[in-house]
Amino acid sequence: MRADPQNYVKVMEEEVVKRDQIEFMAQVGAVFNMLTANALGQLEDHGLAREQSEAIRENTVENLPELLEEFERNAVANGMEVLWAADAAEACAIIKDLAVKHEVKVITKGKSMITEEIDLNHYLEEEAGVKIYEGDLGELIVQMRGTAPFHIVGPAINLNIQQIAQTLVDNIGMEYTEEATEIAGNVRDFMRRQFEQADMGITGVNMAVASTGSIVLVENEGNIRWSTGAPRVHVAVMSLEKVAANTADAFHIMDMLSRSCTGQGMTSYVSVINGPKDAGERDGAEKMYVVILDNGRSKIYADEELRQALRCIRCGRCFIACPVYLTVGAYPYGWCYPGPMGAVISPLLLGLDDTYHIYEACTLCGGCESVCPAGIKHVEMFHHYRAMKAAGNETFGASRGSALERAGFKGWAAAVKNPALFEKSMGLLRFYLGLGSEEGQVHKMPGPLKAWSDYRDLPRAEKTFRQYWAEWQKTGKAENEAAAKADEGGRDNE
Amino acid sequence: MSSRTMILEKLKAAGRPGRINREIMPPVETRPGDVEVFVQKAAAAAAQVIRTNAAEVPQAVRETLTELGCKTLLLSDEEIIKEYFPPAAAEEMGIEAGYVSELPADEYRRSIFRTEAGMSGCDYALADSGTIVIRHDGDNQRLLSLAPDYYIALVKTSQMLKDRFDLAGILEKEKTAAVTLITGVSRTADVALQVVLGMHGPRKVYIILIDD
Repeated sequence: MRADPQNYVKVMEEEVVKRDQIEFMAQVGAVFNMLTANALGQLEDHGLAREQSEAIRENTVENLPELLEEFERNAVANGMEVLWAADAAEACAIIKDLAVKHEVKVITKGKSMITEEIDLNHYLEEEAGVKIYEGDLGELIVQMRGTAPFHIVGPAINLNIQQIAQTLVDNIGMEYTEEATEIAGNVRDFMRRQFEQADMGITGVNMAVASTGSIVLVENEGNIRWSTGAPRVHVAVMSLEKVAANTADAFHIMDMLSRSCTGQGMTSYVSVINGPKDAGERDGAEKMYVVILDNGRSKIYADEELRQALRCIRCGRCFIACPVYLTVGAYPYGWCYPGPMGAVISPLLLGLDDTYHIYEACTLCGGCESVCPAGIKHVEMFHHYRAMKAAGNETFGASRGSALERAGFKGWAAAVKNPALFEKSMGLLRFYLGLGSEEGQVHKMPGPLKAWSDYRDLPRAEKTFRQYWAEWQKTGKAENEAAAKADEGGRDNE
Repeated sequence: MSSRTMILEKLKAAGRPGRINREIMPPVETRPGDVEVFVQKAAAAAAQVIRTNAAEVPQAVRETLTELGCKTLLLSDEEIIKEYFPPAAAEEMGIEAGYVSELPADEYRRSIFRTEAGMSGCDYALADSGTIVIRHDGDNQRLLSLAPDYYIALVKTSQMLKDRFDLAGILEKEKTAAVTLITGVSRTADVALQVVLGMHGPRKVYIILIDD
């Protein structure tokens, strides 16, 4: 799957008529907004905790190359092998070679977004002929259905129980049931057979600790513990910004991650992995690899303004704060990262021309940045993208806007700088828009504004704001003041 | 040029006016945890917490095993297990039991997937989140607290730390190949947001909390 602006409207139109899905996602939003607020409220000082997590991420990103070198040094001393991949193709090839070298037939996975980003499953199935099983229940369902995850934490959250049941009937031969406990139990049994025979486990990395060379992984289901504890080879794929200076920093981020994500003070399991198994151990990998992936991130890093995109900790808190995501869902975004988090990172990784549907669909309400534990200024980023697209930007794949668009913005800039010209042009614009109005609503706008009005109605303005304002100064103000006075007097008498 | 060199060079070439050396954020010290808070938090995460004193530990374990009705039990090789509930104690109840170390590697692997209950000690507990912490070494295997249907942990109140930061200070200094933090029972909400306990981990977790 690839992000495609041309496809956006088509997919979005398919999604916005799914009333059940939209209503359910509204509930998901409400429930998780409450759970996360509650969990963050339990901190002794939530404001301070958030300032600290923002500072940790900012500081980590600023010191990234040194921290990566320190992590590598310590991880190697712990017995891990650290491999670097410039892009998705190189990462896939590295992991394929490891699978071949270790004669791997079956792989189980811990839930990881980075392996979705590089489309690792398809590559390994096709190129290495291995069987891969996603260990996370939601991710397994998504894998079987062949779709992108709907949410970075709850990949199948949009599916109803009937769809989930049918998927498992078709793919693992489950007997049809609509009981969640039975469905989970069936997958538990099915996955245990895979965990028992798996030769390789593949996971992501939530945080790599530079000072100790450890990786920290958080989860609720147990798929990560299985994938790191049972197979003889463990490969951890790490997005290069997922590093922390020390264990305390990593644990604070982990804490804010779980509170902001599922509203838990601590997830069911947290694994701190320091390397291959000890001599006395029965479980754990004999060989352990960490693949550090760039895939466009060092290019983002070079830009001081855009660098903040790398602070993201993938908690998913912004998703439930986003009116666009909760309405159109994940699929119109067209890639593995939907929601505000995806709207920040996808344009930089895929190019601005191929993703303008994402950052232009944003309403700039700022809900996302008001809750971000990593201190990302989403709205600032979306403004950057729009400006870069208008001006053209070779580094991030933005060709210059059309001549008409440029002329439009030039005219707009001239008008807002000159009060007299502004008033005149607003009057003209109002008249022009009013031409197509019905019953006080503007349904269709002519010319370049047509696309905008295809999905929005604008109330017809009888006068410009300045005309209203002039009238208000004359009459309305005095009336209003009199009314306010009368109201106050009334209250005094109570 | 290798990808490693290329990536690191690109990162280092970037302008970094905001580069500062921040102080390590939390005080890295070891503070004792509040036992009452631990009990409450562990129970909230769906663990069954049984408080007992040293003399009554065997009885508490027997009652737990009877309640579970299980017939097979694997034990970690830790001192705490040898002290309070060696295999003989389970065998008296008609339960097939043994230490992990008694099994050859391939047999261990076969039986870890088929044993009904696993029991071990732990290294620390974190009061503020109701978490038990296991440092895996030869004495406490990684799958013992994951694969069996039921998991019983023996935890001493003297092992109680306040929270994750106290643990961070310890892990910063002393390393084992893996450390696992377990908070209650594994879970999922992936089926239409309905919470199901015991997704891939044990279906039930018992914490026998020993006042010492």
